[in-house]
Amino acid sequence: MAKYFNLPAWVVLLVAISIGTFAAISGKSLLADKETEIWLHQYLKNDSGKFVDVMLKAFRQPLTQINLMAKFISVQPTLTPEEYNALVLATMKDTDYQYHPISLAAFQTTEQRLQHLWSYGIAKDLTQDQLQSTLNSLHRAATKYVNQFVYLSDKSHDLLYVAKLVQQQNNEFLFVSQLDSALLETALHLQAWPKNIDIEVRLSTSQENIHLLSWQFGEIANALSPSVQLKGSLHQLDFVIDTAANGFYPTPVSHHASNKLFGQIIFFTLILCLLIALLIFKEYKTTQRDKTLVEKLEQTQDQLTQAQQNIKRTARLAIINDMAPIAAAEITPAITQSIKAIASLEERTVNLKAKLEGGKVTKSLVSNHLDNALQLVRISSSQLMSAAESTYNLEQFANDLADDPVRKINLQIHVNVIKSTFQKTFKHKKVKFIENIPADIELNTHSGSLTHMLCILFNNCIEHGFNGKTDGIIMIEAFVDRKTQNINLRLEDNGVGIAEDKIEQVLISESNDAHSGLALASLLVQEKLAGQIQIKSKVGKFTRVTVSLTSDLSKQKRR
Amino acid sequence: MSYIVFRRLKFILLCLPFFSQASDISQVESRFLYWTLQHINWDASVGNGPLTFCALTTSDYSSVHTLANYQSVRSGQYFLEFEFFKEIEPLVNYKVEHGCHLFYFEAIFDNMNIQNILQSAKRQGFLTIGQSEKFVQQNGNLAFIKKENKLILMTNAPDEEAKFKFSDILLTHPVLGK
Repeated sequence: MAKYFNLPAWVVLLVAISIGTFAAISGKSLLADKETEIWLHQYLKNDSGKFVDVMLKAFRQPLTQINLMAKFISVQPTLTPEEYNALVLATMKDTDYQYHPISLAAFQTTEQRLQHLWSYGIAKDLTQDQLQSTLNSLHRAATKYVNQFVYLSDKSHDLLYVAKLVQQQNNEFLFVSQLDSALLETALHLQAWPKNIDIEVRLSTSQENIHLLSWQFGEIANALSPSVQLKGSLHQLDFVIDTAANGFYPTPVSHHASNKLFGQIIFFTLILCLLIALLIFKEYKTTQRDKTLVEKLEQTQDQLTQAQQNIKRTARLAIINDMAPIAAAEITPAITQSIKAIASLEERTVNLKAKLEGGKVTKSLVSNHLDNALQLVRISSSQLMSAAESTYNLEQFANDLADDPVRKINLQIHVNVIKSTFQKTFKHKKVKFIENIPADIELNTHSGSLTHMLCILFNNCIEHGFNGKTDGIIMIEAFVDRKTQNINLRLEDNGVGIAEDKIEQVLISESNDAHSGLALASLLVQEKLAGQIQIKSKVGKFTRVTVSLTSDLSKQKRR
Repeated sequence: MSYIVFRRLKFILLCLPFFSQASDISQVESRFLYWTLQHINWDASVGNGPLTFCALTTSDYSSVHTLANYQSVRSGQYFLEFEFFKEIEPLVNYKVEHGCHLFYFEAIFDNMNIQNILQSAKRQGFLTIGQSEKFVQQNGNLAFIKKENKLILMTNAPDEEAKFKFSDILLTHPVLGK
């Protein structure tokens, strides 16, 4: 894979790990955001809502008491304080929990003056002179908003006043509750505040938007955590509650899921990296194997080339093997004839000597003996010449084929010698040779390869061209190309021919059974004789092989 | 179950920070005490009430005085009546003559002979409240202890024979304040 991108393997691995890590971190971040959202809506808001419920219950309690007492006093304005006290305690008896003790004072207003009727709890302080101005302020506010709750705060003493002016028939009553806001705050702190969130409560009046108090549970002012704000109102009392996570508290399940996802992404990234590493390793091994195979192939190629050389050499030596018996068959009769002639001459000479000693020699007898002797010597000489020629040719061929030297060759003689050898070899076939080679054509080339090539061509004509035929004609001609000075040798038979689609194949393939020799001939022409070979053929008509040979190989090599 | 947990823990701690500079320690303690008393459940054998809260204090401005000023204070389902003493002997006499269901001792009295009162209250199964760790070590039930700027509630396990029990919110409440 790294090879396709032209990058080192470690870069690909590093990129894969980086992408995996980035994906893991991004996934974790996304999940964390989702967790935050879930936490906000399912937990933070939920816990804040519970706090608000308790807070409203705490505030509703004194307001309920004011309403309740307002009804009692307006119905029974003449009860004694002790009776009112008993009434109050009776209303409280069934209450499970009291966020603030009862604190209530009742005044009857007559001509804008407040007449104290009854008070209970810390609201009794309202009868003191120092709180007269506070009471008057509450009276004025209550007069402005009759039958509504009005509020006033005394932050320095942690006090919150709630008042309500009730008009019934001809009477007018002012009810005031003095609340210890710190006591309410304590109750909320201990009982309603969820410790995992910070809460800030702000209360104000809805009539005048007067700020009454602020409570802070935790350190919400400095919190950077996600937060939600709740707003509401209760009897002209507006509240705003800011809640923020005190640190981040995702649910255990989703937190676990986040870590699980993070772990899974890391795991699969490592798996991916492992796969990439395996691919790279596999590719490396494949390259190594290819390299080994190429080396083996080259080695095999060398062995094949060597084998080919050996085959060529063996094939050349096989030609010698074929020629040797033919030469021997020529030499033996010649020498026999020569021996016979010499023996006859010897016998005649002995007879002549005997007659000479007997004195019976005549002139005519001597003359006849000389004529006979001359004839026998000529015969003997001729036979010995023939034997010597055959021996010379065989030796020449053997040297040529064994060493393949570059030497000057007369093409006509060379072809004739080979031709005569094949004529003697294939006596059983009536093959007629028509030869047209000028006597002056000479080549300076590898004699052994030339011989080998010519033998293959002749053998191909006789063995394959005339396969199934008892006679045939082989035409051999040669001429010099004026332009290139190359020697063109053409050898044509009227044999069975070669199919057109197989011609190219027979020049290339060594495995073709029928014409395997032509591939070797083509190789010899191209590699050793610096020439070219062409084949034209028509099935059932003819096969023509044209060989273009360099006339002087030594010049060719120098060039 | 909660009770077992409580017994194992021996005592729990609740603490409350001082809310404002204006509030003094007795006011904070009175509010804490008000809230704590409401979360105590009394056995029906104590009668129809109200319960008597006997406080041994050195001044008229203790947290119990502030509490008494609220007038309608309850412990569990019972209203409380407050009796104040500045010496041990009148308290003992009142206890013998009228009986007390709750006892409050300012810290200064820990070094005096309140052991007999504590043991007597324990035998009777009544609640004892103090202001020091020593008080808890002397088998007092509740103590509001001032440490740095926090007020810490230390509670001691009531006996099986006690006529009161702490409600679950007191037993399971996390440590409050910061």
